[in-house]
Amino acid sequence: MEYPTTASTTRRAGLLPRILIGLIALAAPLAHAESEYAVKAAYLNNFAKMVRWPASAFANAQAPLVIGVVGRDPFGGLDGILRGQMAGNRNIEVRRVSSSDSAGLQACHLVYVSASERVANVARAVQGRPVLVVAESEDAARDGGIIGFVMQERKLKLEINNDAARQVRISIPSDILDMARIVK
Amino acid sequence: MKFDSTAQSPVTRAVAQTRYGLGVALSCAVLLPVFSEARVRAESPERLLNLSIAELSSVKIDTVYGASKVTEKLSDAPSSVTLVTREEIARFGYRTLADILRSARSFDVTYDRNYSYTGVRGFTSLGDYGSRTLLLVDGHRMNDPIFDTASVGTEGLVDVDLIERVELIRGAGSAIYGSNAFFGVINVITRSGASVNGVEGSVSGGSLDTYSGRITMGKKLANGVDYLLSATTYASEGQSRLFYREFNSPATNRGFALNKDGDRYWSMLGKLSYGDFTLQSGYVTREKDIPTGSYGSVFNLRNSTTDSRGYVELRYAHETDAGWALAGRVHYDIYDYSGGARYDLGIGRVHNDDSARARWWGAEATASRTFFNTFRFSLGTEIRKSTELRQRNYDTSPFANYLDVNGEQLVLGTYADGRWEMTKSLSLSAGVRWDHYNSFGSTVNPRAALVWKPREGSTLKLIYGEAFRAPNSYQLDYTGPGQRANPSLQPETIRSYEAVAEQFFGTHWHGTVSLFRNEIAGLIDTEENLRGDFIFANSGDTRVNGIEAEIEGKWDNGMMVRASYTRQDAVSGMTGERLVNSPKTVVKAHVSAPLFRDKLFGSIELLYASDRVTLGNHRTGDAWLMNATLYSHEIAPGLELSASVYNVLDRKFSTPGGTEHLQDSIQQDGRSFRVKVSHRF
Repeated sequence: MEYPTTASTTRRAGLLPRILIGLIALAAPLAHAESEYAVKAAYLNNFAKMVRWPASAFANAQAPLVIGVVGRDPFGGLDGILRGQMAGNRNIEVRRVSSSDSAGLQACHLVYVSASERVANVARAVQGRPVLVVAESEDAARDGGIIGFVMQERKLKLEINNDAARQVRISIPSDILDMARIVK
Repeated sequence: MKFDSTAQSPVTRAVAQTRYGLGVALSCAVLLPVFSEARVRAESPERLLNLSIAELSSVKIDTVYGASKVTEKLSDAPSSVTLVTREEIARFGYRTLADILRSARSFDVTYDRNYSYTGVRGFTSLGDYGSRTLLLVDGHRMNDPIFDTASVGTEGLVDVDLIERVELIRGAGSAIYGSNAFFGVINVITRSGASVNGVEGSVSGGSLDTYSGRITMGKKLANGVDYLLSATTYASEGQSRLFYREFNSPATNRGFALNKDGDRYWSMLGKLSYGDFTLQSGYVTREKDIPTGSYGSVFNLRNSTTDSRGYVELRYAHETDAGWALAGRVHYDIYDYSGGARYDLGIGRVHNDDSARARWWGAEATASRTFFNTFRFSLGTEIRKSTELRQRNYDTSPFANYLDVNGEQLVLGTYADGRWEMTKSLSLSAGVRWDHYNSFGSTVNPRAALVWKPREGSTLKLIYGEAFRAPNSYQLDYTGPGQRANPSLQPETIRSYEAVAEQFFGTHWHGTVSLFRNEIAGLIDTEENLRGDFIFANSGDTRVNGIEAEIEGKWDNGMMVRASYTRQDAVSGMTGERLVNSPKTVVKAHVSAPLFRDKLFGSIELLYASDRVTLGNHRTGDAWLMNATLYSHEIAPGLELSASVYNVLDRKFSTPGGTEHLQDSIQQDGRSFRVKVSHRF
């Protein structure tokens, strides 16, 4: 495993300096907490970079890849987490979208549906459109969503309805499919 | 264990147990330090963003099972929970579950050179065999129906090398688990065969002529079968020379107990999983020599207890397509105890045997499902029934029978538990359990918890719970000279209140502050009846108030820092006097640092407890304990090495002795070491 910078600078130091450095780190600037949602955010980052949308889903070659968050934002600011990330040559843009805003939902490429919302409602709003519906809740991939997160043995795994993705011409690469449970 | 017909005067015993220390009742007012909210910067760790899908799917997220009998995220659990992982156990050189508990905030273990007694948050009753905590091994109840023992010392069933993680769940848990989940639940989760993946051998040697060996086989086969089979043996000569001034007279070897501290056990654990089914069995038998002349036995003569505990269970866990999580188990359990000692009756010595033998079976089933994505509901039911609960006490020659009784226990329990996610940030958990005992009847225990996450990384929990401890067969059935059974005992009860604030500070730091209050009523304790006999009764009430604060830092390179501070005030409800064996201040600090890549770690733990009041109304003095371990793994393929020094500074400290001991306090071990080599083939 890679060492973070603070540790690698002290790799040869003895125990005591390390403890001191550890304690000093307490006063260091605070960053976002690593948790389930940090992992989910990293998954979304991967989806944005790896999944292929049909060219018609973008207005032009410079148009950003739009991620919509439906319901409460459990990430504590997904836009901040993904700031500066690129999907190929496209910027990633994060928006908050209401589940009743069909036009807003259809303008997204990837929609993340929080547990507070019904996946089926969102899926209905974007029916037939190349929108990758990712949902927090289990069984999402069966409720009209395309990708759902499942907690398994303390790890976050994926459930994917690849047929639903294909129907809207979204191509999920095998790197992702291989790691997921495929549902229909 | 346990009481002998010819024990020291029951009067001293009863008097001593109701004498709760010096009458300095501290104000229970504790100030919650200003709790600074983290400035959460919306910036996820670069590291995570750079991980591939395959890597992400193996990132572990902290979850806990035992708090609600369903797997949930740590921050969602309606309790204050600590997880101790396999990695931590290895790095700190923990030898037993008692070592693990001692290291954890809120938990306390007292050792009297015979048994280890677990206490929680200022309440460690001498001689209660840890019965106010529920000990589970992979969800299987370990407390037996005779003494309710939760064995955590060398008498414990699971070799710590086989532990994947331990969940320490604080607070009253009877609303899910029934009896014994009084102050908390200790859920030991053992490793799978897949994690062994071959054959592991381990040997260790250390001070006091202590040696142990373990051999473990385990694998997950291509057909999906996962098996684990492990056996451990342990022998320790113990302290060759122990001095007790209470016995400092020519008739009792001037107070020296010579070679009377030996400790031997062997244990096994087997698991076989296929699909939704797991067949599991464990067994341990331990013989401990007792150097303290307990229960008035002849000092410096061989005196030992043997405890054996075993079980076999078949369990089932299945998730249906409709989203129901179903689980069930059936089990058969055994517990045997025997103690042999000699007693001086004035007209000559007799050899007395004291024994207990318990056999029981049980079954339980739970079903749980989440409705509308926001409401999780669980329903469970359980039965436990003894087929034998025999207790005997007799002198061998001349034969004199004092006790031969066969008790009976039938327990029925049913619970319902729900968690409603009212909004994304607010959830309410509530549950209630009904238990019926053939001895005293029924009891109903509820719990409720409000969990609020005002933002990612911050959690506030308000927790209320009620719990009970049912009177056990020893307290209900044991009648001998000087001791009377009390079949009309009622369960003792507790109401526990807790407010917990948990906060992530950046990526690496996590802080917890907890305010707690425990109100205990009808405590089952010893009393003296009108004939001067010793009898268990629902005697006292007790209150404990306290505050705990803990900060923990973890880094990707394995660096770990943790420090906790506890201030607690445990008093008798009747007299307002401080409880025996209850330190007011406890500080625990842990540091573990990688010294060479991820292969060599140095770890130090510092455990401090302020003085404890003894039964004789004295004070033990502060206890400082420092343990250090060097641990390496994969320095050569499959090789694990560790070297530990316990009580590095060789500090002398004592803990109070129970009523069965003449010793007002019992000195603990000085500096000792252990080296351990494990190899995986």
